[in-house]
Amino acid sequence: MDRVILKAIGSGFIALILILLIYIGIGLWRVAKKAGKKSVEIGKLALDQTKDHIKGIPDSGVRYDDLYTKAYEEMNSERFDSASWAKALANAAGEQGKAKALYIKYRVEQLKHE
Amino acid sequence: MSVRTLFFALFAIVAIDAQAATVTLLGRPIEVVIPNGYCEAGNHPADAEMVRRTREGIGNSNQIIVLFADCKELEDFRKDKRTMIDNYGQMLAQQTPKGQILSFKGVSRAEYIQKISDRSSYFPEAFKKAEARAKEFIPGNPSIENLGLLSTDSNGLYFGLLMVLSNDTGKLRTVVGVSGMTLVKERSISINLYQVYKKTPDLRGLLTRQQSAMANFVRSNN
Repeated sequence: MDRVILKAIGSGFIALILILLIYIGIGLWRVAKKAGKKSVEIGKLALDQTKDHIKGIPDSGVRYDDLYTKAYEEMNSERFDSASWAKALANAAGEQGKAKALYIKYRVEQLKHE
Repeated sequence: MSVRTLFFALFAIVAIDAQAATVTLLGRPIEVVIPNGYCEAGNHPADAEMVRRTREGIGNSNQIIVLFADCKELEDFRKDKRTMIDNYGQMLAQQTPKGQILSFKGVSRAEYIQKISDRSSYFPEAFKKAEARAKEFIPGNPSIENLGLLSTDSNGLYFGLLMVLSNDTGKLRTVVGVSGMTLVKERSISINLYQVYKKTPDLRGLLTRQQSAMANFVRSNN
């Protein structure tokens, strides 16, 4: 039974991820078709950008006090950067207090690359 | 016969089954319930590409029971008024890698939910494997956040993922996917719902919608 359970979980995840990417691919393909460009190029560009937005870049060890200040001010004024806020909310399971703390962390990571 | 027409002809079989609102999985009839606000996709020539790529992509891992999308968005998609559907989903039956429908003989839904919850430590590994497979299929290097197990109730369990996409103008869009898994008539079935957000994602709202869809499906198959 345990083996079948693992198969069910595996199949569930495969479908969830692949179908998401497939639908995005279809959208990009249709955009490309309209624009007369190669869909693969546009798809690759979008997916590469996604990687950058989600993963961030490793900490260089330099202190970024001004970036923390900027992130904190954004949080206080509720002018959130949507990507960082989305990621924070997701990792905080919707808990606002925890999400705000994570927002600072993710936003600073993002600002380091701007 | 054009390629497009051929695809449509092939997928019409799926559509007929879904219209009948019942599918048979390893001899057990399963009532198909499309979530409120969504319409069936796959029964229109404009959907052919969507269905073909979905089938190709998931291979033997799952059997598509029905594809659906927000009714208005689907209508606009078919009329070529929009390139991308923002709200969509599927109902799938889990299979073995060889394409055999998974069967849980003598297992109750509560046991199934408990067993999967107990194995939540396996989720990151399963997620990585699925991600690796996605990379074989999709160009580039997609990065997706595993949101893990979001919730469980008496009908099923729900896990999610999040992906942030940048379009060519640099605007960000967040895609959230929630998969609900359940056991009906000893068959493992999942309902996936996806939503694209232009601003802050409402994960709780999507989860609530997912749980409602799952409750309706389970009720119809009890």
